[in-house]
Amino acid sequence: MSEAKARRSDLRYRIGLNLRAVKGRSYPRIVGANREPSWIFFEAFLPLLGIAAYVFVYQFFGGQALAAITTKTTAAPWGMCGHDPCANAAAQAAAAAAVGANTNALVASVVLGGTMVAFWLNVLWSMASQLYWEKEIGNLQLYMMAPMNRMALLGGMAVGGMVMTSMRAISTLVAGVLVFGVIFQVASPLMLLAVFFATLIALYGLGMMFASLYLLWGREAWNLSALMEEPIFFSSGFYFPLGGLLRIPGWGPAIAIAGSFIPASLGLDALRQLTLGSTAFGSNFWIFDVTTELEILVGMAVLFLILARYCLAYLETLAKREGKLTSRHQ
Amino acid sequence: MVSGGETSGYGLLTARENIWMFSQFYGVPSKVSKGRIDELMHIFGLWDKRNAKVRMLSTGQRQKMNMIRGFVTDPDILFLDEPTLGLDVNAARVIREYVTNWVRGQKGKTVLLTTHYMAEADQMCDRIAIIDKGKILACDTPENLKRMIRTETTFRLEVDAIRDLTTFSTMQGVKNFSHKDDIAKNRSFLTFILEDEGPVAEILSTITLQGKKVHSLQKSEPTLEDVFISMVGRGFE
Repeated sequence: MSEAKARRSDLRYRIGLNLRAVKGRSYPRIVGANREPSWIFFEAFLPLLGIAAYVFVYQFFGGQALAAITTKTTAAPWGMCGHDPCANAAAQAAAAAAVGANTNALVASVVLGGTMVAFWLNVLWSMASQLYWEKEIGNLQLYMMAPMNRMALLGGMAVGGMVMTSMRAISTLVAGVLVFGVIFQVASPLMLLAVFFATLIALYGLGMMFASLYLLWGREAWNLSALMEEPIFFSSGFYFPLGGLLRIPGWGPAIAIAGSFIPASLGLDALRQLTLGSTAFGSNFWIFDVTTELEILVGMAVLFLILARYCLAYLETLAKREGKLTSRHQ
Repeated sequence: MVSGGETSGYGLLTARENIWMFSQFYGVPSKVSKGRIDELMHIFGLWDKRNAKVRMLSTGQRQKMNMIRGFVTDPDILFLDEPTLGLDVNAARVIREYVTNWVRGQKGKTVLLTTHYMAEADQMCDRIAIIDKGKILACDTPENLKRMIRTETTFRLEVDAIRDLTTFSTMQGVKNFSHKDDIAKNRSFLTFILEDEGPVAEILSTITLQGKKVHSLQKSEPTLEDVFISMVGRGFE
């Protein structure tokens, strides 16, 4: 066999091997994880409760604003339009419509955010922590001995996680739409899909990178995961448009910028623009336009995947050099 | 690599799916892999449990599953780390027999077995390395290892009652000879201490030439555990 032919044959073998490895490792998440019907309760229904809390708060404020508009007094015969009395019936109707639209936009933002929470939790607990967990249950040594590329292993985990979580997220989304009567207006479905997939790839790329780092840091990783739950929910704007923080003087912009390093933040911002219209909230609450956010997300996806590869290579080097996969006092 | 007592894989998958998953990491085509899994499940007696979730399997069944995982990729080199640890007699025997036949029945196959069971090592291995505190103290065939500490060989025979015993004492290669008679059973029990196994044939022909029947023949020789103790200076702890 000629050298070129042998190289091609070897390349074909390696591609086949790694694709099979991706398929194999995604299988437990795609097929295995759906064997327990309890996920419908725990992962589709329970998240609705968290979403409901925010929805009720927003609906309450919407109701209060609407009451102010529709309540007629001698000083404001057509109700209040903000701080001033409405000029006429048409202004009153327009203000009431704006309140209705903003309330729907806020509720829709929460439902979308609640859906994204599923992905973030999956990235934290089933991607970032997974290699450490595999080490604890004894699978890691078997993975390390197999001839596949380690990125194929992480890729399989990511693909499986995306598919599994998408099913849960869609269930939550559909339930949210049905229960809370949210209205979405998708003007550009292709752009929506592009943003969604770019967000997922960037998010799971981050998870793949964390997987090696978590294994390296050992037990401290669990604290890190816990630390990255509620603070990230807030700084990434899972339950409100993140751009709102930019309007808060002082700490608001700092938190919004810090939160934007998590791909879910910009992804969610772009998804909200694409499903609610960029004019929602008077165009005041968005961070960047959709195209810019998509470009940043693609950049993040590439960067995180490269860093994930680098971290994994470092881990392997450490294992070969020192015979261990952890650092410091682990 | 297969380790004794390990809980590899995922509890939500069935035994068959779990093994298939690992085969994918070695690039085995699904069709080939599933065929091998079914065949090995029949051999290891796990066919009935093929669709049982891994978390529902007993320790022995899980270990059989792990063994199948090791063989399904048809490796050239297989690492077995205490493969029969904590298994019942039957399960351990099935595993030992399969491994022995697999490695001896094919060319180019190697099994690197680590075990504390000396009888297992003696039965399964062509070469044995005795390791203590990370150092290889000896590496040779079981026979040669035992020969290293063997100074004499003892044979015990149970034969029909025999009267003429003088020839045994003077036979070349016999270092020591003793006998005991059981008149009620009409049997003689002979014990020979030999320099090596050379005189055994002559002893047997002498007995049969006298028209006596040999009922049993036992050879007592050092075990691998004796070799280990002799080299390490202590038994297994």
